[in-house]
Amino acid sequence: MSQVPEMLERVGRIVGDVRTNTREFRIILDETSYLAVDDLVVVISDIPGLNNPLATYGVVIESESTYEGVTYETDVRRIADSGVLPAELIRTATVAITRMIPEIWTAPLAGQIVHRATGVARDLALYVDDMGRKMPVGLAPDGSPIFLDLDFFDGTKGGHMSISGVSGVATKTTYAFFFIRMLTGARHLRENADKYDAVGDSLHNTRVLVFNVKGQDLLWLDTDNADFTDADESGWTALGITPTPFQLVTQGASISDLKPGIPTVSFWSPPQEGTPEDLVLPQADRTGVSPFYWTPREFIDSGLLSYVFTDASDSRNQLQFLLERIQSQLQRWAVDLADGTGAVVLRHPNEHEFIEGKRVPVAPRSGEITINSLESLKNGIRYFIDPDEIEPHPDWVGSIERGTILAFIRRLEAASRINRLGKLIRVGTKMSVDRDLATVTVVDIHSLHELAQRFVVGALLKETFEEKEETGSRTPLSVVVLDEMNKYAPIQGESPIKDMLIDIAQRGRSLGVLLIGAQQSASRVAPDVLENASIRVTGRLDSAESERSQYGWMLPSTRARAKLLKPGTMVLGQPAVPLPVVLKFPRTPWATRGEERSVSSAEELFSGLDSSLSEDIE
Amino acid sequence: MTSDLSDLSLSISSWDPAYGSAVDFREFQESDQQSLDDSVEMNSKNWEPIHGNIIDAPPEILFVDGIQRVEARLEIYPPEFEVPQLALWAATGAGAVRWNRKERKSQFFDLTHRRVVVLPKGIEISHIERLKRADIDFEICHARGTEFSDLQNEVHAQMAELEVQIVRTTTNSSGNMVIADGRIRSKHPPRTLGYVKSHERRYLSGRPAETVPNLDIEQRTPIFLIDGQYPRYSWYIRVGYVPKGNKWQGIARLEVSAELELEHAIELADISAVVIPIAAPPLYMDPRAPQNLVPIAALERELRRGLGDPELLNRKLKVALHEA
Repeated sequence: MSQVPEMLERVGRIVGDVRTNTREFRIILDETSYLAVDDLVVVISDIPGLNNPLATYGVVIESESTYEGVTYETDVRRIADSGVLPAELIRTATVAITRMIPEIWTAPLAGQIVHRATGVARDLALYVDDMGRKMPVGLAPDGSPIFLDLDFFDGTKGGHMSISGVSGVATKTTYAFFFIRMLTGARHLRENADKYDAVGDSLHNTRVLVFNVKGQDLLWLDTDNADFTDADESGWTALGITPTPFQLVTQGASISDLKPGIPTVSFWSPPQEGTPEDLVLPQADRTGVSPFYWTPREFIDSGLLSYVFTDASDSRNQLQFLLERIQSQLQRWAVDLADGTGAVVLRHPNEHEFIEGKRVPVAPRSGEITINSLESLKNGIRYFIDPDEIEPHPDWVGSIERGTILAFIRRLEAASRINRLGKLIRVGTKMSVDRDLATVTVVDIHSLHELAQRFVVGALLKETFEEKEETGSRTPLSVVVLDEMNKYAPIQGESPIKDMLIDIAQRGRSLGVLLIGAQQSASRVAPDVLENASIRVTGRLDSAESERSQYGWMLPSTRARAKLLKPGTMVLGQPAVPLPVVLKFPRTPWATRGEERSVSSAEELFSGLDSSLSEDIE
Repeated sequence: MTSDLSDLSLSISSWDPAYGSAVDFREFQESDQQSLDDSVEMNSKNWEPIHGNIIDAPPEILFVDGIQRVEARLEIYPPEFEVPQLALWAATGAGAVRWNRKERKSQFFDLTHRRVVVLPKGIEISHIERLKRADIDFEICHARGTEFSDLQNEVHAQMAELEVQIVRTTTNSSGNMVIADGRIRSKHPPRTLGYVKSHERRYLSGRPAETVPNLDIEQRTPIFLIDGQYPRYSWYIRVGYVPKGNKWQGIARLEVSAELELEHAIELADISAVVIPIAAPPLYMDPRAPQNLVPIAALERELRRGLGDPELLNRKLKVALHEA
């Protein structure tokens, strides 16, 4: 270790007027050197009694300057204006210790020479040598990659990631996708094993599910970014990835012309009411988006009724009890219609006919309600639990009070309106989100009512999680990106989505279901979800937010700085490195907003027209 | 614990080392009889303030000063002596501030420190052999007598010697103006200005004495000659005002060797009247403001800092003499 500093740049010495300790020390800088916040340093001390020199690594957390020999504040005039007062301009830096080698927790010695940690020393300062599988997740100020120990994301030693930051600067989702691009570029990394360690097979066939909740921001992952510069390109090159947008894959399209090594993306959106099924978005300029919905059959089989009642206030015991009862009765009673469109009728289980253990599809009898939409499902349920003239069916309601039944119907009624959940449940050929189609599955829910958004998120999370529960295999990994975590897993209240998110947070690690949760304020997210995230990332924080205990993993100086972070700069906390690291990430080669799309001249000609058109429709 | 007798012959006096050393002896050192000629530049009957100017002022002005500190009083008591003899362990320092008026920048330079053990007359160096155990470098010199004041005078002389050395080296870089704190002595190079901030001695009377309090900033009195063992030209300037104070406050006196041509002295006097007030501190900054010039105060502070912690030194000496 002692030979390392000889190649390194000397920047100063540890000051002698304050004590060093095992957390911090201060440096007086040499006249020709500088240190910026986030720079890494190393100090070698010969500790009495230790056979080998002690190497102390640290990161600069503050940079300071003053005149030495100044007693009064106005002295500066006599120093700088008339110049009669001799004083020495000094520059100092405060360093937080990140590591000691050997691990003998002893303060570095006052007066020791401090070197800038570059190359091997820099990796040692950031524990890169300790990382099982390192993956670049950002750039240091000097442009070199900052690594993450993948073992702490993919479930080997830890899992999940939590991203916090104020909204509007679009950094949370952008970083999440930057991260996903690094993650799915693993194949590429493996090919360049000489540059980075092999990341391993766990990332092979990784599937990412993401919900687009704001505008159409995530629907341009396959489109070039007009603002992408050469500087951004070199950033990506330093990270070992050739910057390209994701490759679009549509349902039924040939995948033979896909380029290898570039992750794919598929877009999904609920169909617009009264339009052909393939026109799923109001904007005509976004093509290649597949529609998705659930048939009544799928709705009943998957028990999706729970996700209709996702409001925290719906969690009253009686209502939940009734809901579970109705759910199981639906599963018992529902028989497919013979037309094969996914419609069902509710018929008493004793009257079901079976061939080889399967229910035989039927034609509806007179008086039976054909369930082909949420509206008709509501009517079907109502027929059993709140019929007009006869008593409710005891199998369906048990001894539940009428008030609860009415509350249930009221909620179901509200939800089944066409502009809420209505359009998500319809009959037709199977149109579900195929998460195996592409690496990244973007489900657009931004135009849906909040109730419907929750429903889609809940239904797809359940599907993802149950699939992994069934296979019991951690790989291939299934990553879920969920923005507005505070909405889905709030700190207070109960909801089926929250329960599932907590379940994923706790068990997903071993099942290979990994959550990338994003939120404006971590303080409003359920602690169970937050605390299970091994990787923590924050962008700019609201100043009140940054003081909260959820950010205790950051240093006080980092917290102060988090209020001022610019887009493209994040703070990363990971178990492998005991200190938060500030990193930058290059602009993405894909557009993160519609305005960033690079358009060809012909398209440009009509672009004004398009946008005015889309505004009208919206 | 067995010690040979010579070990017992040296100890540290439990007196506070600073006791009795606070006297500023600069002024009474040259208390020779002096005669005064107050009409060398202007007839004393016509004395009135003269405006200074800095047309010929050099770009660099140097301030030189020295400090002294008695750090321990040693008692030497060899068997052949009837009573213990006193010696002083002292530290001196001297240095300069180079004020570049054009660049508006001041810098310390030639900061020199020296530790010295002053032995009374007749005491052998061998008696203080044990001091070397403290592992601090020091020089040894002898006082002219055996009294405490003799020892103190020798410490002062050592400091003055150091200061003169600094002045000599700085004056070599010609063209600059050198201002030494306090009176000048024969050992100073002739161009050196002495800056005297206190007025313990009355030089002028009659009209010349009345002229002094009426000086304004950038004005000076006419030059007068102080004749004696070492003849010097002298003049008063105003460095600042003390609001509601008496009019002699804020006045400083300068002197320069009379070996210099009078013309040359006049030139220096003119420059000093304008330049020195710039370096005067505001009242709140220094108890000795405005006379105690900023660069000199800073220099003293820096020199004192360089002497190290007196408590620490005392501890080292005690360990060396009494515990080792």
